Amino acid sequence: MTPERWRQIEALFEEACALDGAERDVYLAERCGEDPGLRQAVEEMLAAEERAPRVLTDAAAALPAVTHWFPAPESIAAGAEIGDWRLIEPIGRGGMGQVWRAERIADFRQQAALKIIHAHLATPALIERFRAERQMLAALTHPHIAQVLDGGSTAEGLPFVAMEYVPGEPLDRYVRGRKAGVEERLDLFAQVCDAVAAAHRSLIVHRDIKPANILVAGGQTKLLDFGIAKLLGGEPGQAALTLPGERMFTAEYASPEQVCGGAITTASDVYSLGAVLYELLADRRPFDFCTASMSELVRQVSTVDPPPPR
Amino acid sequence: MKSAESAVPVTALLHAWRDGDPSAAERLIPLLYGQLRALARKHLSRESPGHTLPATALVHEAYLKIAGKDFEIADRVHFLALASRVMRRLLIDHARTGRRGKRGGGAVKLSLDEAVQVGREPDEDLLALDAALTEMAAFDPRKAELIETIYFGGMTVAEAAEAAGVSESTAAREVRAAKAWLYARL
Repeated sequence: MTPERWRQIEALFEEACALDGAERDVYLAERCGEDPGLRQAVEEMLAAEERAPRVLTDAAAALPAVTHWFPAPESIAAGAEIGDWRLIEPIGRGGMGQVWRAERIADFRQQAALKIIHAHLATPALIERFRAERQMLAALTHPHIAQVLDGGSTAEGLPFVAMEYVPGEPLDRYVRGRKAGVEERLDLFAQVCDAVAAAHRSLIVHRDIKPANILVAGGQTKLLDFGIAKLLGGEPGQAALTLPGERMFTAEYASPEQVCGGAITTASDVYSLGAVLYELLADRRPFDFCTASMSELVRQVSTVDPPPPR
Repeated sequence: MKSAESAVPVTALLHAWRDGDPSAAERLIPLLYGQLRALARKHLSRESPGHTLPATALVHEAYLKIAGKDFEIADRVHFLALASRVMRRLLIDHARTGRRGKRGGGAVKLSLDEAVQVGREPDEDLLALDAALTEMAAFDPRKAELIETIYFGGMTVAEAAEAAGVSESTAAREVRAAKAWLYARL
């Protein structure tokens, strides 16, 4: 690409960012009339911005932390046996650890998503807390909540949780892929609300409700990772177990008290549910965090009302 | 290396680099590279289990260690900008080595803001980002530098703006466009 071409694309992108759906189309059609390639380039950027997480404060979020330089213990590999489970394939990795699809050794039909915590996070205090919380989470049974099945530790003492394996698609992708109507979207959302309400009755707060944690398969939602954020996030007043710069919430769905580091209650989940509902109905997120600064994020979430969806 | 010994030459080299002397960067970069790698090793050694830092924090720690007290505030952003470049190189070198030595398979992806996403190896993402940034540098070097300092150096937009010599609002706008382009590319 030439610098001139890029300046053209960039200028159109900036203008288009300030416009909504139909206005945007008109604007782009007008400005790119004779040049379909130009329009395509701008639209690709706009689409990428939609998909992409809006806040990327630093490499802690965008790039591997240096812990990644040190590979996971060799014992965590396909075919390895951990507790009652045999690892099948890795299905994810995040700041907290790895996730594997696994099957129960004694019963090939039961599958689980095994979350194994990074060695550097596995302090004795965390392991103790893990044990206590796991009991509580295992008691949380609801058709729209992915069940905690089991837990324990690996040969190296790394704690793990086995959760119901849900072969679904994240909520946002699911409704976009199906071009679901409002009624269908609301029905899915109501299922999520049921699940959250049930957990709140047991005084369990999710803390990280977002479309990526809500999987849909066959029209049924399953909320994942209940209480996991708390297991890893540290108690108020206690040092968080996450890496500096790595947050236990997702900015677009986090409540003011979460971004400000205040006390988290069931109301924080309700706020996140509101953000999810907004996205379901408006097909965009309530806030558009193009800033990279934490203080700006705090300001926006705490003081600015999201624009009404149109 | 003690900061008292290194502060003066580092400051001088940094000034020379800022004033457009590329050979100063050639002398600073190996120094930073060694320092950053040593810091990473130290943090991940057995002496401090459970204590670790993301790459960007290492950049800042290297600053504190190397810069010493007689560093001018204005030098800070230039130091961090250069250290960001070095951190990028260090991570890329590491990713390349890791890729050669890695067991096969594995549908594991570096997650961006999500705890879990399925996809490629983190190293692949890192190498793809590096390639895209290199491409961007050819048609818009300033934006590539802004992204480099923010992503690899952990600088705020305000600091990155200062290092690049533009206003903060300009930098914020440019970062947004640059990110959108990178995401479309990756």
